[in-house]
Amino acid sequence: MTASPTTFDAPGYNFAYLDEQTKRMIRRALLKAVAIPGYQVPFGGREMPLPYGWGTGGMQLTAAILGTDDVLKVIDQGADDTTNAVSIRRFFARTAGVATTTRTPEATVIQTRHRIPETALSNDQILVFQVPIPEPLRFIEPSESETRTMHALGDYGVMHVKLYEDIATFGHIATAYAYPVSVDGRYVMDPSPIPKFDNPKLDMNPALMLFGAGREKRLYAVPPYTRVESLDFEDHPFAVQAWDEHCAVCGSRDSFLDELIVDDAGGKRFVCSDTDYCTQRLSEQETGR
Amino acid sequence: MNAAQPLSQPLVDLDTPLLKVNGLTRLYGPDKGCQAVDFELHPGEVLGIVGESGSGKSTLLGLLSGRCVPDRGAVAYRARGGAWVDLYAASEAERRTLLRTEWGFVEQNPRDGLRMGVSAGANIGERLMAQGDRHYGRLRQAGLDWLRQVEIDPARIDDRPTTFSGGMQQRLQIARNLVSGPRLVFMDEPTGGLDVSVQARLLDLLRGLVRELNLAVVIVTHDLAVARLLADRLMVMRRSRVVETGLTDQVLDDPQHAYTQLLVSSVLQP
Amino acid sequence: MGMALVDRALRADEYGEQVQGPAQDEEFVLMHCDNVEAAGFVSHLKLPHYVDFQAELELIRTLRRPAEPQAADARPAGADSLEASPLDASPLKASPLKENRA
Repeated sequence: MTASPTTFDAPGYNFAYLDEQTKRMIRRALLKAVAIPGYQVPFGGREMPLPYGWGTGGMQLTAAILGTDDVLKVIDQGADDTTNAVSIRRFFARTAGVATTTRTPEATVIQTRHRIPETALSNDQILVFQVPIPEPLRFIEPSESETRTMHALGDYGVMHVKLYEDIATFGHIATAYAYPVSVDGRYVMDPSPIPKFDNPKLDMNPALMLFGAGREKRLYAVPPYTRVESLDFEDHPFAVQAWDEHCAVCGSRDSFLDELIVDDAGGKRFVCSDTDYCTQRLSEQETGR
Repeated sequence: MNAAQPLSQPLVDLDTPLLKVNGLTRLYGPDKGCQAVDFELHPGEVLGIVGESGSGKSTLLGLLSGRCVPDRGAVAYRARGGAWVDLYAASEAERRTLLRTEWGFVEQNPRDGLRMGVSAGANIGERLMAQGDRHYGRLRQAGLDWLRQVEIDPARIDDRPTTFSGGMQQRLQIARNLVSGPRLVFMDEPTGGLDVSVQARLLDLLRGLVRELNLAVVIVTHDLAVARLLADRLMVMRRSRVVETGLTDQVLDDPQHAYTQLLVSSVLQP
Repeated sequence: MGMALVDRALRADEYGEQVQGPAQDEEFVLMHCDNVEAAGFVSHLKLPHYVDFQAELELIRTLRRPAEPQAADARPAGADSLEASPLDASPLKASPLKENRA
């Protein structure tokens, strides 16, 4: 479903809510981030009409890059119709008057919370991620000045210490989402809490990927066609989630599936998390293509 | 990484110093800190720095290991390729790399030198992982080998250091430092806080490892018995200055400086 | 959920925990929980997290699979792959999750 652009009806507000100087500042920070893939660039985060934790970082990046001709898609955990996705989409429809869509191939800017769309992206698209904690080393090193030094010196031994510890304790690496990656062989990055299932999509993706953390006031970027590798050991290689089941709606075996409990006996159904992908597959099957 | 490394340096290298210190000075106040320290350290040599608290020994150790910047003077280290590194002309990155690869630092309190929240195996493997070792099996094997070397039961490889006794923690700290095959190890009162029998065992272990691995060591201690057991040479410090240096036995059996005589005579003889 | 978080954060002493981080320090917690910077985190828990939980669930199921009653030679694909393992004390016994190494 695509909504055509409306005249934006938010008098007293600048296009896309943020003032032009703020957008300039964010764009400059974004350019720096694109020039140094995976490096966290601080930016002057502004107060947004949402509290922290609700996507203010992603929204500021989206606001900074939106133009009148853009088509915006917003998803939350893969779905276009959850409360927050709807709110953010409406926010930009009102403050920027841009066209909005739920169809991945038709969007020019996609703001996402914790999933990468199943449909492959193109070189003309920008994916904006909402990030809670931008620092992948935070869990093991609470000091910000120390983690900055570690990034500067490429001092990442401690990441593998954590993975080693997982294998020693559980027999497997015990990270299921927000799985740390090495970007362009240099910086270690937290790809936001996407399931590790989505990590391979980061590697050599034709789209530009931008990451914004509002509370922490950091942004970072992965330019198109960049090498992104998930951390692992030679004898314990990175592996993604897999399901025995397929999607109950469209039959997909290749997408991330949500598990729904459908009755009191614990009966389960598995459905694609990416609602647009699922809907498209279903309609293709129904029209017999 | 093999626990026991054969002597790989050609004999002629033993004549060239590993560490050269000139006029090293850092003062916090009049006679507080250290000043005008000069010496050379050769591969495989153990240098003891003794003195009472406040004499400047810890400051000196900090300056030598790149942890604090001197007011004056220089420290030069001969790296593995043979090139000399001026410690304070080099970048922070180079210093940290040295500290993680060719050097070791054994802290007085093992809690400062270990990651208490991860297993013994992870502690030992960290330096290897920092250098790019990506094979879990090999890392684990190195952990087991080193635990044996420092006389900790290998079955404890997955236990956290919080479950270890003080002596075991200290031995784990030593293993963690030695796994990267350093040539120079700094030790800050490694036996402080341990009781006597545990100390004796630790010293025995250290002595064995130092000889076996041909380590150069700079050890700071206030305990002359430790100095006598481990050090080849001694530097006696008092109020920021070095008052006497020489071979350990000479300094302890035939002290020249009045202060050294005082130190030696005040040691309780069993 | 918000109250539960604050309550738990203030109980380090009661549980005999070693206070390592600011979230275990009562003064820090109370000083930092009531301002603009803190706002939003608790309410954000209303947002869906089912994909993240799904990922965790899948992980737990994977970890539990080797716990099915089998002889010690049932080695799952992702487990410790040392060939001649001298590890009698290996944590990879029948039920890895029962080993509480916290």
